[in-house]
Amino acid sequence: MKILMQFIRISVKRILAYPNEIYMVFLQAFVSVVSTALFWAVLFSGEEAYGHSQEFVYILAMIALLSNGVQELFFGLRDLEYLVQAGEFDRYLYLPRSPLLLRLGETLPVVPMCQQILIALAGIALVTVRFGIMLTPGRFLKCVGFLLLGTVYYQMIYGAVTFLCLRTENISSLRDLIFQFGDYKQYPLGIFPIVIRFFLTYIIPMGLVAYYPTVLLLGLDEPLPQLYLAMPLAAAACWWSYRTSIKKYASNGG
Amino acid sequence: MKICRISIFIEIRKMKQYIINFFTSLMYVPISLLIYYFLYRSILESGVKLAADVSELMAYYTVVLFIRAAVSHAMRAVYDVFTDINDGDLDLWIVCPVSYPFVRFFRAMGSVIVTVPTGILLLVAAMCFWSQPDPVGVLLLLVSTFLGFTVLYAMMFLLGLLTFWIKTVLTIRDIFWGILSIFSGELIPLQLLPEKLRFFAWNPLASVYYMPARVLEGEWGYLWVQLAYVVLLGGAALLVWRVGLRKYESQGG
Repeated sequence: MKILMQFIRISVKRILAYPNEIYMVFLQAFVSVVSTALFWAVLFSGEEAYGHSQEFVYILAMIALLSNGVQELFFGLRDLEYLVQAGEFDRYLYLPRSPLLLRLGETLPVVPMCQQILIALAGIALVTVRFGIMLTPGRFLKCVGFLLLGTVYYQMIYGAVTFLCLRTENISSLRDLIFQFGDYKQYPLGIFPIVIRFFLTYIIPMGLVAYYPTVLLLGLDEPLPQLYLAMPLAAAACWWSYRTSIKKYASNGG
Repeated sequence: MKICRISIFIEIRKMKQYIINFFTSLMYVPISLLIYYFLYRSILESGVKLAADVSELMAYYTVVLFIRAAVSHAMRAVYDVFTDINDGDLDLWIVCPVSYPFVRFFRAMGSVIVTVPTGILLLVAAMCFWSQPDPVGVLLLLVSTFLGFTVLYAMMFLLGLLTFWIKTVLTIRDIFWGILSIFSGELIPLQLLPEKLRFFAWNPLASVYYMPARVLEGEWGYLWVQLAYVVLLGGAALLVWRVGLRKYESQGG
């Protein structure tokens, strides 16, 4: 806990070191929401609905932003490869804590994470009032719970691929390909054929981090994916990838 | 001229570093097209009226996605200028008998001199599936893409130069990406905007994706607009460079 608090303090100080940076980070999250909202507003062009209601796509956009905020917890995984290439991963191996947890803690972007979460929550509140949606605390908790579960599942898949860099050093092409599937998050899963829906639910689980939480929040009658088997499998793949790759890790010397 | 040639040559030799990324990003083109196809099919099937049908939209996004893969390296300009100023590497550039903005531009040009024609050739190959590409249109698309790249580079260079005043510009760059995706036509074709907002099709960011796509469709007049923006933004970049240089304090590297 003490280490975590220290990481948070450092993260905040890193942002405050530059004047106006805190506003810029806020503006960045805001522009991201505006661009998504504008996209949907243009496509609706005055129509009430097209299979998915307007409130659904706006809430989906906010939940996608919320999931972006939550995913910042795993920010350290993104540049693990460059760390390995520079030989800088060695220093985590000396320390009496899990190298992975230390890396995630050290790179935790607290301020952007909080700002994205706050903007997303404000956006959900705004859409709720604008469209007169009745939200209940139970549905909200279910939505957040599923979002967390989906985020962990997605990061386990992402981690299983990323950890291969400890062995091969260069994995960015494959990792970026997975990363680019993130675009699917902002579209209703219902518009895709069943094969793509399956892919986006269990293989690259973008549907789990935005679409299904939105369904839960709005209390829609749609079957949820069964993760009882998929979740342990993803965890095992992630764990196996990490354990076998760390054994093959050869320092580059930096 | 010799320096420009050498700058381009250096980047071509460094091409190995990012050519794999370029081809990987091309792999993503069909995935993106699938998303757009299902999205727009779903929208149009539900009775919403847009200013284009699915095949026109797919042709548009194919052009945009190939151009994006080919010119994305220009985005690096902000980071290059930012690190040169903050790490003190600019010292070396200032004392050399070369123009820093031009050398940086030609190095960036070198990084896309292979990817842009390759991307356009692949695009033409893809287009053959649904239409007979017009050779003149393809040639002008190549010119338009290079003009769009120059406009994008000039804007990225300008953002990088802000480091002279505010020390960190990477978040501003990320904000700019969001703005670029809206106003360049990358996210949504600008002809789909409501009638009142169609004037956005003339904004400088539209030079990057929207205008090249229109040039391929035979609206060659956009080339003059792109050329005007190249002159305007190139001039602005040189002016800001001169003013900013007076603010420069070496960090020692």
